[in-house]
This record gives sequence, structure tokens and C-alpha cells, in this order.
Amino acid sequence: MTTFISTIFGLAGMLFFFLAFIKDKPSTKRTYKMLAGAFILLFPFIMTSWVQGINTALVYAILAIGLNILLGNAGQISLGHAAFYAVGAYISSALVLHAELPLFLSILLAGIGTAIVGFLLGTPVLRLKGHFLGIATLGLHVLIYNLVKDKLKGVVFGASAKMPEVHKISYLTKSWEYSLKNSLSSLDYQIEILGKSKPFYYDFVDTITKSIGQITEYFIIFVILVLLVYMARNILRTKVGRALAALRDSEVAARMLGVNIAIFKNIAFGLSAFYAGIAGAIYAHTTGALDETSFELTISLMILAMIIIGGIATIQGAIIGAFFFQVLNMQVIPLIFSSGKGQMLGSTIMGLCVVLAVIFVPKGIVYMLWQMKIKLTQKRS
Amino acid sequence: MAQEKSGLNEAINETVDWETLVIEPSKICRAPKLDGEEVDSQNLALKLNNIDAYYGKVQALRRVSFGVPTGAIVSLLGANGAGKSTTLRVISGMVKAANGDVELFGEKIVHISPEKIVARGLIHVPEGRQVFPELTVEENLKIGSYSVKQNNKERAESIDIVYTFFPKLKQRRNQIGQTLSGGEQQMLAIGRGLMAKPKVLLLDEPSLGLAPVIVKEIFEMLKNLNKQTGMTILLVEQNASKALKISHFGFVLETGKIVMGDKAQVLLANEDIKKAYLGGH
Repeated sequence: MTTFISTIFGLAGMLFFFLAFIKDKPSTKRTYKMLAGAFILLFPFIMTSWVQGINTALVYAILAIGLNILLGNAGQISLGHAAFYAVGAYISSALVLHAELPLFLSILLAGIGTAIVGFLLGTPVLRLKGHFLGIATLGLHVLIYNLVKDKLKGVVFGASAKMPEVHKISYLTKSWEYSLKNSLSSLDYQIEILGKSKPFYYDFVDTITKSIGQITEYFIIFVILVLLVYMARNILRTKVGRALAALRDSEVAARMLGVNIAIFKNIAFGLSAFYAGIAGAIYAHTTGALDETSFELTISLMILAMIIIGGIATIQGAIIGAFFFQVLNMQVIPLIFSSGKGQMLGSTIMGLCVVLAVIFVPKGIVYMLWQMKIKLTQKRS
Repeated sequence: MAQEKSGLNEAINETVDWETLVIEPSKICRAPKLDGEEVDSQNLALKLNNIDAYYGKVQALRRVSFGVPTGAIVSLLGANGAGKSTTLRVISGMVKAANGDVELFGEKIVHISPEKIVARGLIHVPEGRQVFPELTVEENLKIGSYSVKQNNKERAESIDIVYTFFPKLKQRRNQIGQTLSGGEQQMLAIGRGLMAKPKVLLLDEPSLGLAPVIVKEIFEMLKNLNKQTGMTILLVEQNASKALKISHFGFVLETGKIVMGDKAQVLLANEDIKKAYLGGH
């Protein structure tokens, strides 16, 4: 029953997003936008089992937006973006553990710190172009990855390699969790000792209690994502955004017009690292344990694939790509292949998806949707 | 002001001692005369002195020397691969000269980065337009003003000035670059250059791949620009006759060397030049 409801709810949500995107008439568009907004708010309570997967998708969306600024908007490739993800995670962990800064301040500072690292590392690396830049960023990844593995991990976390609960995002609603647990045990008392019948909301309260931490994370990460999308949109509309586009379209012409391309390349690298840093910090404060495997090369490549599938050079594309990947990876594939074999087949299917996407929708899902929109409006008129 | 400038322009043709500009570097420094007054080499907007340039091991320019007087239109003619574009690239700093000096209003610019050269008032409009395809006309223009410190109002004014020179661009202001026709793209490329408020404009093959009507329109506009603002223009062209018709002076490059330089009318009448470069047109 609950699976049925949550499936219907999820499909309805996707339909709302789709219609909000496709519809042109302002009043209908607004209606669907509000419905989509309601979906976002209700989602964690109805599709509770999905929340953890979607949280990861939100973090990947932040990473993808960042890489998209570098790759899509500025035309500079990075194959080692997971390195900045790691830098952000460790800066934030170090700040809460050793400097005892508050959670959100340390997330912000991790973003800024990673941006500075990106800006500085950008200077030598961004002199290169195309394939060479790809290889250099790959090298950068290996460098940072090993640094993390051999040195930073021990220095930041000590022997325990764990972050105390206090420093996790989920800790924010710990008191709610306790009160929910209390009310749940009083319900248990009423049912078992006093012999009252089980109220209809019992299961609901039970699930919420178990996953309140994840639900908190969902909302917090969502708000951060919204802020970061807002920031990216504004930056890309200004002088910096135009300069990055100029850099991507014709570096020669940009130079000839007096655009200081070196600085703007660094800015692109720094900006992109800022997003990766924030994503890394969030990751650190949700899992609480930083294993170097979370920052492996596959992550870099996966983000790259997300952008390509979602739609290059658009913010929506980055988000759609992240969700597409994550939903496919975490939910749909395990649903189809419920046994352990599924996991392996899963990655095969992911790879196939990338290949198919590059062949059939080379510009990504967003462009496909835009084309649909254009066709629909043409039909009507 | 405009009147005065155009007066100066007429004067250039009559009074500049053009022979001092040609070929031998020692002669370049000798002052051309403007309005009968003796002026020093500072009155040269551009001076190239013994420039050698290489692409890898291939020498593209051999001891190229010439001067471009302030307020003049000068054409650089030559066949494919003669080194015309390379000369412009050396001036704008996109290609480093192996030897020699480039002076912009008497200051050496040969080892300065392109963006700083732009900031000193020299704009190079590249061959093949290189309009930013994904940006709108207006955004393309805005990028042209990156080297100038301007607030939004001043920038809007600069954009309006460009629109007065190219009214077509105003109609297309919100269209993205790649949807423009070739002629419009060329206009946008020049207009984008004007946004930097240059004193010297280098143009590389503005007529490339354009219909004759459009070429005429663009050349008319360049002539106007020079008359109204006194902007110095160095024009590289294959379409030699059209270029010479609006120019005060012309130089001929052959396999990386300057082989001739004279008043535009003289070159237009020259039999050798006619044979080599004016034939088809």
C-alpha cells in the first residue's frame, strides 16, 4: 500500500515538474510550479525510503553545477573534480573538530577555502588546453587523493576516523527525534498495556522517527542548493558570466578584446571549486565518516557524465543529470534487480545510458525538453 | 570637432611626407609633416621596426618596418601567406616577435600582453569575425568594453554609438551571434572592437566571404569612422582595389617582406600592382 502511494506520488511529482517546465501560459505555469513546490515539501514524509538517495542526488547536483560552470560555461575541462570535493569535506571537518566553529559557518568557509585552493591550483594548470588540461587535472586528483589518504585523514579525524554526532546536520533536530521517540513509546504503552487499538498514524510516526535525521538533511541541503543555484544564475548573467562564455567560444577573440583570460580562467576554476567544496562539506556533515573511497576518480567521471546527460552549460541540466543518475542508480535499478547481482548490472546499465545519451541526445535532457516545448507551442499556434 | 578632424584628414594626404614612412627603418623615424608643421615620430600611431616573426621554424616576417600616421587609413596588401595577418598579430601581441620593436604612440608594446595593449587603445578585429556564437549582439558588445572602466550608463552610451554606426545591429540586439548573417557578424566584430574606445583599429580581411554590397557598406562605414573620429585604421585586405580606394596609404607585403609602399592613388595606378593584386576586382 505505502509503496503504491509513494510511486503514484513520485510520478505525479515528476509530472508537475515536467508541466511546470513545458507550459507557457503564466497562470498554468504558476499552478504547476506551486504543485511542484508542494511536492518538494511533502516528498520526504511520503517517500521516506527515497530520502537518503535523493540527499545524495542533491549533493551531486551541487557538484555538477560547479563543474558545469567550468566545463559548460567556461569551456575548461576537469577530470579531477572529486579532489575539490575531498578538499571541502576535510576543511569543513577540520574546522568543526579542531577550531570548533559552528556547522554552517564551517560549510561556508570550506567552500571559500576550496575556492582559494582551486583558484591557486588553477594558475599553473589552466595554462594548458584541451586534452592536456584533462590530463593535468587528472594528475591533480591523484595528488590530492593520496594526500587525503595518507595524511589528512589521520590528522583531521585521529584514530577514530569518525565525526561525533554533534557535528552532523542531522543533530539539528535531535531534540525532535527524542520527543518523537517519547510519543512513540507512549503510543506503544497505550497499545500494549492499555490494549487500545493501533492508531492509523502509528506507522507514519514510526517511519518519520526513524528517518528524521535524513529528512532534516534533505531540507537543509535543499535550501543550500537553492541558494547556490540563485548565486550561479546571477554570476553567469553578469560580466563574469559573459567573460566565461567568451573564453569558451573563442579564447583568441576574447584576448583580442582585452579580456584578461588568465584571471577569468582562475575565477572559473575557483568558482567551480567553491561548489565542490560546499558539496564536500555537506557530505562530511551527513555521513560523518570520510573514507577516501568517497572521493575516487569514478566520482569525477560520474559528475562529468551527469552534466553530459543532463545538458551542458545549463544549471537545470546539471540538476536533472544528477537526479537522473541517482534515481536510476539508487532506486530504479535495485527495484528491478532486487538481488546482489543488480548492483553489478546497475553499473553496466549506467554505462549504457551514457553511451545512448551521447548518441541520441548529445546535448542532454534539457535540450530535449526545450525541443519538446518548442514543438508543443508551435502545434498550438 | 568632427569638422576639425576631417580637416586634418584631408591634410594628411596632402602634407604628410609619405616617403619617410617607407621601408627603411632609419627613415621611419624621420618626421612626417602634418599641416606644414614638423612633427616628431610621436605622431606615428604605430611604428614597426625590423620585425622578425616565426611560426615554429618557419619565418613569417622578415625585417618588416613601416609606420602608420595618426588619423590615417593604411592598407596592408599581399597574397595569401604573405604575412599580413601575422603582422597584425604581432602588433596586437597575439604573436611574439622574435626581433624588432613595435611602438604605439611612441611607447614600446612588443613585450606587453594583448589585454594591456588593448587597454592602451589598440584593437585588433580578427580574421573570420570570431563573434561569440552563444552570446547576444548586446552581450558581444559588452565584452568589447572589458578593457575600459565604465559604469552601466557610460557603457549604454558606447553601445548606442556603435548602433549609430551600424543600425542593423540595433535591430538584432537580442539575437545570438551565430544567427547573424556574415555581414552582420562582421559589423558586430567591428562594433565590438569600437566598444574598447580604440585609438588604433586593426582590421583583418573585413570583406572575407561577404557580398559586394555588404563590403561596400562596411568600407563606407570605415571611411566615415575615420573621418568623424580621426581613428587610425590599419587594414589588411585581399580586395586591394576596394581597400586602396578608402586608404591614404598602402604597403605591399610579399613572403614576409615589405616590397612597396606608396600613396593609395599611386598604388592604384601602378601597373605591377594592378597585375598582381587588382586583376580580378
